[in-house]
Amino acid sequence: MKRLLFSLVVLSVAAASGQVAQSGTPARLEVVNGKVVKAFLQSMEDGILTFQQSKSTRNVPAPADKIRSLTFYPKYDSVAVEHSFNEGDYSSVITTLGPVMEPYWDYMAISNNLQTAFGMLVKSHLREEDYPKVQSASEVLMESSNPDLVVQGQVYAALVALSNTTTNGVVATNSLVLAETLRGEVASEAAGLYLQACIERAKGAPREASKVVAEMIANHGNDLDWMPQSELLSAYLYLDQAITNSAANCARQVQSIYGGSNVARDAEKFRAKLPVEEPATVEEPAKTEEAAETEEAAEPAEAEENTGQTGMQKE
Amino acid sequence: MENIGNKRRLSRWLCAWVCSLAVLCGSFCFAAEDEPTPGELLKKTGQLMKAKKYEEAIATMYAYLEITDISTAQGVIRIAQDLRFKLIVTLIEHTADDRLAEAAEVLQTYIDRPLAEHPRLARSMLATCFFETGKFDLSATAAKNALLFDKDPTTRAGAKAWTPDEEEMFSKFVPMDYELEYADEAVTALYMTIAESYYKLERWEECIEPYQYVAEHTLNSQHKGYSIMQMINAMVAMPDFDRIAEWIPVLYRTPARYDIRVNLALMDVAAALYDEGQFDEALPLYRMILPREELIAYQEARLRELRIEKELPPEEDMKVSDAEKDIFGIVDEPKAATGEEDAASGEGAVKPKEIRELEGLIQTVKNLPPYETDIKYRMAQIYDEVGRFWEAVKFLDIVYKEDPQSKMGEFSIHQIVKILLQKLDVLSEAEEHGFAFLEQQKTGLKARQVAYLFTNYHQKKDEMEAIKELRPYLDSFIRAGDDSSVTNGTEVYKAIVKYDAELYYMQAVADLVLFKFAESETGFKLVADEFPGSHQEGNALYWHGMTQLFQLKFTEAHAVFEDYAQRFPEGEWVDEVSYQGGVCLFGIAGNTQEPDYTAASNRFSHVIATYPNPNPDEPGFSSVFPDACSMRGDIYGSLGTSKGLEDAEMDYRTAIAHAKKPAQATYAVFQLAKIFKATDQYDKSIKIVEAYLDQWKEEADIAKALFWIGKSKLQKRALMEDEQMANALVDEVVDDYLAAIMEYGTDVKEEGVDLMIEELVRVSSLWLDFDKQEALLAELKASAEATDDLVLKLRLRVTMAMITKTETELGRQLLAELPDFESVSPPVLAAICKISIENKDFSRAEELLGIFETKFEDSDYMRMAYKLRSLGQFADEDYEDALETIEDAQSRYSGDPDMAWAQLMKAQLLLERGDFASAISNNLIVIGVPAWRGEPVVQATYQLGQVEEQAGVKGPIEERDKRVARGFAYYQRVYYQYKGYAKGYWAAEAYLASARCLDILGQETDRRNTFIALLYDPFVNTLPQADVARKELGPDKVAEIEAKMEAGAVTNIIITVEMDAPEAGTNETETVESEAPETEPVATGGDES
Repeated sequence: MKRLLFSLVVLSVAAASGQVAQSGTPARLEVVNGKVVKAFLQSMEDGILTFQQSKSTRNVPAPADKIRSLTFYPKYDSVAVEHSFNEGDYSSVITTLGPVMEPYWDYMAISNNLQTAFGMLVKSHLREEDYPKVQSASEVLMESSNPDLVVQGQVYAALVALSNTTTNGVVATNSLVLAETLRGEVASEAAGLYLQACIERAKGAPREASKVVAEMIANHGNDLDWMPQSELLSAYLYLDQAITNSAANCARQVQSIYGGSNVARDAEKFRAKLPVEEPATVEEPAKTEEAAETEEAAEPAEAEENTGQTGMQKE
Repeated sequence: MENIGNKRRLSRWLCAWVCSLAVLCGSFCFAAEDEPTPGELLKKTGQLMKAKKYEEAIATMYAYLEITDISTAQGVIRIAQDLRFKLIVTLIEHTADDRLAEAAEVLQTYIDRPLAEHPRLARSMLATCFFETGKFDLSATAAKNALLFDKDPTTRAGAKAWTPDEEEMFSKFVPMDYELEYADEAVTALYMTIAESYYKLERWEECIEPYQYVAEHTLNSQHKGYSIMQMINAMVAMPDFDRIAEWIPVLYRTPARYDIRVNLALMDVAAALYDEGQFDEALPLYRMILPREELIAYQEARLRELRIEKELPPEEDMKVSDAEKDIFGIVDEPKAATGEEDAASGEGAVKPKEIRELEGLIQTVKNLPPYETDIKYRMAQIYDEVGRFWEAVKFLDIVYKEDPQSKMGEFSIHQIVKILLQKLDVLSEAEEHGFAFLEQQKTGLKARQVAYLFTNYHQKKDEMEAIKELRPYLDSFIRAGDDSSVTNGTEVYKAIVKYDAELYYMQAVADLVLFKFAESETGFKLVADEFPGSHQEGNALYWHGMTQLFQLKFTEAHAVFEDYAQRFPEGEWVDEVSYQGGVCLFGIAGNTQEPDYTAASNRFSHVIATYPNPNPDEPGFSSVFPDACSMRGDIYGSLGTSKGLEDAEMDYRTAIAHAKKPAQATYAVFQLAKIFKATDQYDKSIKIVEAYLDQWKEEADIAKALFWIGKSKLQKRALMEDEQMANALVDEVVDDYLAAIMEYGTDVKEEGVDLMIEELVRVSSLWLDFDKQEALLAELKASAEATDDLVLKLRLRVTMAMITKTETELGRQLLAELPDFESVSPPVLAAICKISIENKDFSRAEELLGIFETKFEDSDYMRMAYKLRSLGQFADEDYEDALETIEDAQSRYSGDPDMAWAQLMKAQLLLERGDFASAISNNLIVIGVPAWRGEPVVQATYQLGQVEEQAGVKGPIEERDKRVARGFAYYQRVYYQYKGYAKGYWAAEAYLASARCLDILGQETDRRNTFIALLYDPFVNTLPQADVARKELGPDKVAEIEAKMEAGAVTNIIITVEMDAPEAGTNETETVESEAPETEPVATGGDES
């Protein structure tokens, strides 16, 4: 028994001394060659990850692109966070995840097990219009060697730029130029089209923006990374064009197609804010080709009615 | 004790072994002579299996099982069960599919019997066998039993019940160690089997739960997608659309689209949902459907992987080198032992079932007709239906560009234009798409429909010019279908003709709205002539007549209306043509020297008698009834008799009572007011106008009504004896008019306001003293300064100008001030016309007349615009158009006092054209109109002189002197009778013209005397024309005349004049009496009598 107690004391002292010596963010680091290291991350600057191996205080610099992945060990209820996010409760996501993500924020350029959580957090900041945070995230993401993350970073950066409006609500010229520059650099066509639509909208050209969104939907209908927000943007654009029913119907479709996601909840909130919605225009099926064909001969009758427009028809 | 127990057990085992051995031996002995023993059979089975002679091995195994079937020995049963299982595996793996049923039977026996080593596996295999052999009911049950057994083997689920004897016997067997429980994948597979079985049995509700289990538990995302897809299929079949909505988003997130079966199902389900109007659910499914080529490419890659997995060359018929065999791990393709040959390869190879299935599916997809465009078209319809118009346009554009000539392509371009015009109101893009289509598509229905969309769009926006711009497309259409199946008489051809009729009809309508009556007339005639029997034939005929009527072609229009009545006795315009025919008869009569309106009156009486019912919903009603009453009232009123006025009053009152439109009541009310004014019934006038205001309220022409009320009050004033009261009434009217002008004067089209302005000016000059007039002017000025409304401001300014008689000055200012005349009311326009006439500036004459024609067609002030326009045309020597303008003006205002200019100019135009007879008759008309007495008569007389002079000079030589002398006589009448008019202008001109005539006649002395007379004439001798006389007479004679005038001579009517020398060479002078004028002797004595 004495021996046991002694051992515990020694271990606790060792652990305490270890804690003092090993500062940084603890992580499991997997190098591209498959080697796994227990590490304490020190910093991430200019694509160089600096870390200390466990039980060592020596800083080891490593190019970030040589790191395959990082595994972190934060304590939070990931299910609850995901639920909040998908419910569109962004402030709750920020409250919960914000402090959790703080130590890991700088390392998000490297593939890691918190990528999804980070994505939810940044989107929440964007929805809550905390643009400095989004800007910070975009800078981190653009450092990544993962092309998908770079694209995300570029889009976030451009959206932050587009949020920089004057008192008249017009986007500042230099911000617009920056957004367009970033759009030119986006490697993903789907993301590029989404961003282009955002830029057109910011320019006050909702029709042009709608056309771009339509292009995006036609060419990337199964790109679930960029489709949901593109379709929701389409709803906003219809509202910009004062076609309220179209905006409502579009949002309803987003709700239906992306059910269970945060974008679906956003669409629901959007609909709730719309002016009184007329009954949905889905009573009858659309004319199929055959149906339209059979109606052809009937259309001139419609023409007859329309001549009443000029008063040429007897009252 | 332990030993005893062991011994007992051992002895029991030995007994059983011996017994079974005995049975075996017995059996073997029984068959020993010609049948192989079980041992031999077992041995032979092993050899045959090794040699892959599966059919023979199966036979051997059956033989063994038959021999041992009766054995109840545990060991024999165990061996038999093992062999049975081997038989099952062989039947399944090494034979064709049709032996699965056989395998199922053996499996069932295996399950029923004790001592099976693989009871779980056997049960799942049984389920599969049943499924594969189409026994879905059994397969579902077998799979359920397998799951039950898996949880609790003691249930023996799926096995037949043992008899009590069997129970007792088998309970003595040493129990088998059961195999391990199913792995998760196996459980999921069993659920899939249950689900698929129920699905095949169309037991939709029952299949959903097992599918859901698979969707929720499988780790294979494609299986997950497939299960969801099948659930949705089942829900569509049920139908249960609410539950579908839950699963669509989940399915959308899976890669299930890469599964061929899912892809095929997606098409069906999406179509079913679409047909049910479940657009939100159908849309993602349509999106998921992969393009054919992409799907085939993906699955062919998968097939290659599968072949490699099954140790086959990646490609069919591929020559594989040894090195490649090493790379792919390929072994030689197994040759067919018992199975089917692969027909495709012809190599006799037996392919694994999965490969054959996949190849079949790929072939199915390859055999499908292209579906991508159809999918895009469907999505476009969904977007259109839910109002996502930009998306719809994009997808339709894709479809159109895929194959513009196809039916779907044509539908798409039509729909694109329709959405852009009707839903998004984006004309430029609609034109971009639509015009490009119309440029190249000249046949078929869709080209017409696209043209119709544009026409309809512009018509709604009243953009008639834009409609006219479509005409070249219509003219370029070829009346034929897109293919040879469309022939004359087919439904599509009929529709094409119908559209053409409609489009040309709309062209004519556009012309009509643009007041291009001649073009419109041609257009309606074209529709009536070229599209006999079309839906617009009757309409076209009616409007053909109306356009003629608008052009005052009364006779032609009347004929068209009669034609309509004959051809369409039940037509919708039959009452209208009856009435308009009456209007034509009225016009025809009015164009005669002695108008007789009897025919017109009779026609209106006929209309009144035919449509007396005031109820629009009943027979005998017509909206033209009040108009007919008013027209007949006009005719009665024009008779000028008291009976006529009484009848007119009755008709107007009937018109007012039956009026369905404000305009009908308005016309009759104000006509009635005119009658009351003419008959000094001012109280009645006020009453009828007030009743009109009460009845029609905001719809009434309030300003005009107020004008009439004021005018009636002023009429009442004239009859008042008490001057103070009379003045008070004037003040009241002035105040009322001012208030009304301020209230309604902002509307440029308020004719009543302009009438009030005119009346106010009249009142001001007649009854307001200086102070009141000044006060009125001050108020007008203050109001003009206070208002921001340009229309009202201009009206107030012109009122002031008219009161102070400074319209010309105002007109000059306004010409400089106003960039356009959009906000200018008729009196202001008239002032501008007036100054333009004075300045001989005709540059904006056409524009000004155009404004009146389009905005103030009924305005009295329009006559000034006519004058300006015709003067301009006259100055440009555009005599034909000038004559047309004048005739237009005359048709509106005919013999109004200030319309003499039109008649005079018309006569001059005829003179310019050399039509002397007409010129004379038209000048004589002026002289015959009492209202034109005065200067117009003077001018007409002068012009008559001109006509005769010209006729003499240009006509036959034998008539020259006679006609010139007649001309001289007219001139002479002017300066004798009318010298005071126009400040002597006409007299002075007439002197000069007379001298000219005398010159032609060779009467030189008379010519000089005429000049001398001019200089003596104080009305003209200071005018510029006098200088001509002075020049002709020379300074000496002029000095002489001036000296005489200073001495008191005032005229040379009886004067000493130079006589022509009786003989040539003499230069004497003598005093003679000048010829007295033929008409009136006005000589007042002279200095040289």
